[in-house]
Amino acid sequence: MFTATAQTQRRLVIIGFLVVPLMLLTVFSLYPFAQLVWFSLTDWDGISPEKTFVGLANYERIFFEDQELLRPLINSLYYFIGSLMQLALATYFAVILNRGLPGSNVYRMLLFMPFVLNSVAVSIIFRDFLQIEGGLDALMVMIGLGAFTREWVQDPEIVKWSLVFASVWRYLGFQLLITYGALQAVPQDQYEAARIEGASEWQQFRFITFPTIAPILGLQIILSTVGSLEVFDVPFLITGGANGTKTFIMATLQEAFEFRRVGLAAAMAVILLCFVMLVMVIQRAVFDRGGTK
Amino acid sequence: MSGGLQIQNVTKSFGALTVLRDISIDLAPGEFLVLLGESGCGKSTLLRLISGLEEDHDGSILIGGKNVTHLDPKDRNIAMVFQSYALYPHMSVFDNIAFGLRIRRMSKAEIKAEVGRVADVLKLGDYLQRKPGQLSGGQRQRVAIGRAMVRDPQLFLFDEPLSNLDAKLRGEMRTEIKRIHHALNATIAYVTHDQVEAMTLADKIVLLNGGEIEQLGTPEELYMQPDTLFAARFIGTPEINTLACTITRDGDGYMAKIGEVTLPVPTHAARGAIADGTKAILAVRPEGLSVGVGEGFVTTDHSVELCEPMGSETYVVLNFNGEPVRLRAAGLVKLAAGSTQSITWDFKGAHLFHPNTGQHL
Repeated sequence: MFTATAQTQRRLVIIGFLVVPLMLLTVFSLYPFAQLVWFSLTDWDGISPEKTFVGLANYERIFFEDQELLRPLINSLYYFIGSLMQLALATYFAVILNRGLPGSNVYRMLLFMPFVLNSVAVSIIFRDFLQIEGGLDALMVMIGLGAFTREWVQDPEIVKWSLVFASVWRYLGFQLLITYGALQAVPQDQYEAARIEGASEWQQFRFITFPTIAPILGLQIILSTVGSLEVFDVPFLITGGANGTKTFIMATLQEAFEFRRVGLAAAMAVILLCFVMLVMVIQRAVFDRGGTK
Repeated sequence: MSGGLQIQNVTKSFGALTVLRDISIDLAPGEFLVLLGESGCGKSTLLRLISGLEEDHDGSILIGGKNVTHLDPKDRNIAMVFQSYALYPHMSVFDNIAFGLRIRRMSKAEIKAEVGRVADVLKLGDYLQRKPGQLSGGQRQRVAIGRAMVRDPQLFLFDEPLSNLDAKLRGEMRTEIKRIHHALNATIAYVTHDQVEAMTLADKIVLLNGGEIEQLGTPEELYMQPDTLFAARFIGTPEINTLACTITRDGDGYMAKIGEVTLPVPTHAARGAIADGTKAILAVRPEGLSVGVGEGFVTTDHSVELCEPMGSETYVVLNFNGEPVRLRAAGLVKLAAGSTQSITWDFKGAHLFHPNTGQHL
């Protein structure tokens, strides 16, 4: 009969548990990543069995020759600004909900619901909602703001904000939930102590709530920065990238599957990855400083 | 009436549940009031009503002669020390103490001077730049007290401030609080469930039971002249001895018949006259009993149940017809469990209570 010491057994268990996730990680993350980097150095079209090594030619093209390719990144800025507004709104709602007013559970659910909904469904609803004489226009006419209706999706000056609005509506609940969780961790007696000392609602937020949830807010800003670089579903489904609403991911997909330039698309994906990693590094630097302060 | 704290006919209910019933207390400026009682007796609720953190009650509350019943906590000119300290974890000790002054837009120089003064009194000078997380329990407690002191309020509220500390530190902080009370001549309302804290700190104790005042008086009054059996039992360690008995008149005094034993009880053990054959509870503090035969006193024989050595004294528990009887013997006394000892009774401080209502007879 095979017997093992407690230490050997422990090792076997650890190895046993690690094998599966490591294998999955290798097959579905590490190997594709290596492939991606390799593709980005070739001129592969995605179908042909041959790919020629072209060195950094794809990167050169993106950065120096065909700058149209990077342009969609500017659209990310809109989403980033939107996400900051979204965070402010989420914090505002979270603070209110944290007061434990009657019915706050219902409100929390209502605000969180869009996040649970299927994003295709949400986007289709918004597409119709934002149409000329669609839901939004009808609503505005009903409340007497008929004079202010616009071509929400067709007007190139407005369309980006319309999409940002849809995106904020969809992701607000998620941020709300995270912020709300952070707020719950603040002991009530700190607020009571502050009330006795004469702190107003705003001062209570400024001196107690905000410092406590600041790390979480910072994390959310990082997440939304990454998120705004990677926006895809909402604009893809509502406008399909028309009217100057193409995002970087959409452009990448277009290069890969429409124009059959997988090599170039892979290079774009690597560039995006570098951006995201840069953001993460900055976040780490900022947070470590905050942690040791 | 000016100054101090007046609570007038305060009743508080949460829905159908009445947690405080018709509470009236009058506290002179500079007095130390302890709200004492078991958990759930309403003492913390009463403190929160005084602070204004809890609202919607009947009756009125006056602080410093001003009716504050409908005022916000910030307008009541009070300071409160919480059981959990409620320090702001991301602020330094200095900022914690200075918080209330900053809110009141005091100048930087003044804040520095005030915080320095408080830090001196509380011996916090070396810790001003630390965060609460880097302090010990006792130091945090001092910061919490400092935060209250710095604003020089009309009334200090303490909500079980020592219950998170270990026994030794609790003793030290008790002395500290007493010292601060004298140094500031502050008016204090202090909630605790610890009768030792109540006895040592209070000028006035309010003993609460089930949302009503069981007894209000000085520590001496509560100890020497308890109005009810509850009050008698709540205060004093070890607990007062209580024996069910039947009273008969006997010349100048009473005779208390407990099973086969008859004990002579002086008339002042009851506040009024008692009819023959009245059932009563005889209550005698442990210090009324001593081991051995005393000249001119009643003695009875009982078997020893256990001895608890405390160091300077020993608590002895004996069996009196199946009921425990506690007494204190000086020094370290060893009495074998089961052995029979003679006990001398001194009924000078004895009380008689009604067996059902618990009221003093």
